[in-house]
Amino acid sequence: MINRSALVVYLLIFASGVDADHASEQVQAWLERMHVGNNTLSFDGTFVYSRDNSISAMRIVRSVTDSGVRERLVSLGGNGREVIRDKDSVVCILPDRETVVVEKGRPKSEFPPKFPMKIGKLEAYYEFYVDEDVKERVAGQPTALITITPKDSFRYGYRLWVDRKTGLLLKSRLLDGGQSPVEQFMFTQIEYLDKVPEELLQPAVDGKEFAWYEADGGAASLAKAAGKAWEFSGMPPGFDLDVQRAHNLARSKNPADHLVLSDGLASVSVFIENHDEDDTNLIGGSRMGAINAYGREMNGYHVTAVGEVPQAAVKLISESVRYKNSTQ
Amino acid sequence: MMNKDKRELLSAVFDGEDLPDDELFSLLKNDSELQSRWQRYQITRSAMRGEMPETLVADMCTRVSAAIAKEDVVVFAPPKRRRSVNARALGKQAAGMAIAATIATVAVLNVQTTGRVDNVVEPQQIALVPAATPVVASVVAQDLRTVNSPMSTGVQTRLNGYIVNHNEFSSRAGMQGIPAYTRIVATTPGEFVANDQ
Repeated sequence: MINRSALVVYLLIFASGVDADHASEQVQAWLERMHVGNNTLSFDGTFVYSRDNSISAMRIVRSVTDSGVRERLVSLGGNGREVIRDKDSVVCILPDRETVVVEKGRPKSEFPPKFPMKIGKLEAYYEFYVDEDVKERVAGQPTALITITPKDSFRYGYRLWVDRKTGLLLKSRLLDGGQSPVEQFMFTQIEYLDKVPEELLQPAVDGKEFAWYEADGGAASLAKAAGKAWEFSGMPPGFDLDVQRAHNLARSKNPADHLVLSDGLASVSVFIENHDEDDTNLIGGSRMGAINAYGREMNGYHVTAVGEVPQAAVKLISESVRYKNSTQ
Repeated sequence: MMNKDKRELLSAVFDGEDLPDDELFSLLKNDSELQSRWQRYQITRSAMRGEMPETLVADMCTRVSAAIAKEDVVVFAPPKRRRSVNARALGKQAAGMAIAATIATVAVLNVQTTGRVDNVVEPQQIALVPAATPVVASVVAQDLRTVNSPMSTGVQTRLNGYIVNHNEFSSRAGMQGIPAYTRIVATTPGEFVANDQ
């Protein structure tokens, strides 16, 4: 069910938090426990996902071993879409479009990943509350409910139902400023596994007849090529640059600089490409469920901010991107 | 009118297309299959609005599971020209449980919905009915529709490419709140709409 070496590491971390009396330490412990569950458990489950006016059913199979995580996410609806991923690549099989999109050059990160959140820092921007004895069962499992409420309009709120026994996130609700759900997901069935049968991780479709698009991370940075560096003149409070990389986008093959900003909980990606004189650049705001995007042209480049944050956050971030002359 | 056309018309009406009552009545009056389908649409809509009693939801789950157990379930609707389907595809039991549970969840999620109900609407449709989606040689969600204002296919495609890349890093930097790549796999492809806030 769980990768043993990873479990030992995490139990040591978790044990230090369990005894804490302070509320924030209790929250920290539960979030860490959720992180453990999401990164060390092997399981086979079915869940539903809803956004706006639509609902989808999916099956997820995850295998965690000493060599890393493998996962298969597959639609139970008519489109037959699947995403297969391991430590090296992400393969999106889209039978309804007769297309396969492959992303290689995934970021090399340690396994299991470190728990990224520090409640002490986050408490400046969110309020946290845990109900360890909530009566609601999800997929038959008793849960604890973590409620995270933003203190400003640059973030969403979260309600997270976590399996009390394993720490796996079983249900979540992302809430806007009016406490209305913008996205929800919920397991309807979950089976924890000691070992995942190989066939459950194999795609149902080989996609040989489909059009394949592949990308890797071998692109040269646009900023470096121009002797410049990107900077942000103003961001929502608490957001910092977490990752910066150069990347070829799968379909266009256009090189893009990809910067990831995070407040420790929510994250926003900023993509900077050479500005194309066509109609494929987003100008202004756009939304899909909890994802907001905002794009603009900037001196021959196109800047698009995308993330699970309200429109105000992606707009501010997109408009604050500047470049400065680099010393390199 | 062919049965398939009737079903599509019924679905369109349910999605909000205008059809006079007498024409709707004519469509339904001599077709028990369509009547049954219409009833299922209504039940599902009620479920999505959270207007169903729990006992009815539970009962419906039981009946859906039983009905699926009797069918030769094709778990994935085969798209056109799909040539190689892995025999190890998901099993009948899993599909039945998923669908039945989904219906219950539609109710308990208490989704705020006012309009289109075009997926996971009808239990059988999830697993038994081949997709009627036209095959388009494009990527990810190149056919993404816009609702509030026009947005070009190129913009939609580009945004979906961004989401694939963003997914990888957002879970590392913080917390997505849903399993990674769910938005890509969602039955209805991602649907970016203009937002001029």
